[in-house]
Amino acid sequence: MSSTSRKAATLTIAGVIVAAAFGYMMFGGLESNVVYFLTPAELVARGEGVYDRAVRLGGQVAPGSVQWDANALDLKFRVREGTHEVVVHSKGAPPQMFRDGMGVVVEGKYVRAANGQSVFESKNLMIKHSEEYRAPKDGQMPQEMYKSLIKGVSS
Amino acid sequence: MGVSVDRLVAARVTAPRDPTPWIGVLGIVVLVAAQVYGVISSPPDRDMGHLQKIMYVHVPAAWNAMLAFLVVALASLRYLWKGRPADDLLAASAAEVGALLTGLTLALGMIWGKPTWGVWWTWEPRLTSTAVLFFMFVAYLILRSFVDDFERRAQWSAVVGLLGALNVPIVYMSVRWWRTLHQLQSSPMTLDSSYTWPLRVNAVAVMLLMAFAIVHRYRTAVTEYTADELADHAALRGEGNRV
Amino acid sequence: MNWPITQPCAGRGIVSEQNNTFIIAAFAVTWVCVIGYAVHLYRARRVADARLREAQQTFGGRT
Repeated sequence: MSSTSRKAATLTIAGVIVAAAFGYMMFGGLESNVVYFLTPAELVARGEGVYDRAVRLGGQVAPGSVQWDANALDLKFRVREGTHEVVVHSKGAPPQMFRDGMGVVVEGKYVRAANGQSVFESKNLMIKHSEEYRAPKDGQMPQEMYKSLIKGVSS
Repeated sequence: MGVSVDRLVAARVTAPRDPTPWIGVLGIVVLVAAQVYGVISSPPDRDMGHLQKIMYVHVPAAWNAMLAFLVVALASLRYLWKGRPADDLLAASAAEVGALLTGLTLALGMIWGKPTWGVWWTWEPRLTSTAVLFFMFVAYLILRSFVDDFERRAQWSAVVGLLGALNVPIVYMSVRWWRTLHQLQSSPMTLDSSYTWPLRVNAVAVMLLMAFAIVHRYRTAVTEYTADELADHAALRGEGNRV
Repeated sequence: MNWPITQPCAGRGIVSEQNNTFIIAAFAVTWVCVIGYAVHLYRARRVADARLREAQQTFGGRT
């Protein structure tokens, strides 16, 4: 084996080890270290330090909390986990599976609004759906929620 | 070097016509039928509508990639244990097919994620660990192309192949161990029966094609190995220049 | 049953048509992969067979 191919092979192996180590460091620490998203309770519990920093917030769209302005493409809702809720504001149409009770993960910043109430300003709204796949029952149409939510002005 | 060359050469020289192309053709026919069955028979999901049908290509690719890496792990282990060249060639064949299927899984996941989740990609644990798995096996294949010495290549490959295959259970369990955007594994409990059968049939179809691809690739690798060994033996006998 | 959202939705256009594009893309990518790899396998086998034939003619099939 020539010395150049030996070098290349060594580099490749080193690259593999670094990539693997990186992957494990990112997720190996479990909850204590880096988590993909915070729950509403965890976000609030972080106190002052959490404001105006890029974070992810995950939970369920609190039923009945959705306010959608179809003309301004402006969306407001609450993300809930357990008994804790955070108000989320987002611009643009949400993904088609967005509805009451759906799981969501939002990327953005928690900011203090003028009225003293804090709002999570979402830059990116993602759907976290469940592992259930069901055909609609008789008379039910798939995506009825989305249809009524997005087509009309419900706020 | 070339402990079992004589047996390999003999096997290759006297081998009957390779029957595997017909298994490949059968696999393609079954895959077409399975996809038609899945697309025609299953109703739209109540949340994601017809986008559910992407399941029939994404999930079989993911499952079979894991199976291919299981083959890599077993063949690599046996190579380290017994040192038979055939095991190294089998591991390499399965690694190539597994890497291809993992790449396909990632591509299909992105196509499915954009309309359902709202994003092509996000650095969450299931996606990230799958990407790490993919790049480890791409590195495995690059490594093989760089090393010429058979035994050294086989030993390093076996180690990298085992390390890579160790990722498979991590990828599988990632949705249970960590907070992810990706949902948990579906089961017959969480899938309507109108989805489970098309999924199973499609998974079997892809498995047929995967088995065909691994065997076909392996036979090709044995052929190449045999040609190399013939040349090496001739060189040892001082016949290298006879053309 | 037909996919219900066949009318334009605010901010999203016609969802059912967009979804069809993604579904077709997924199946198309799969087939590009299957056919592409099959061609690769076929060619690799042809090259290997030729190499073995050449090696046998040149060095003899000593076993």
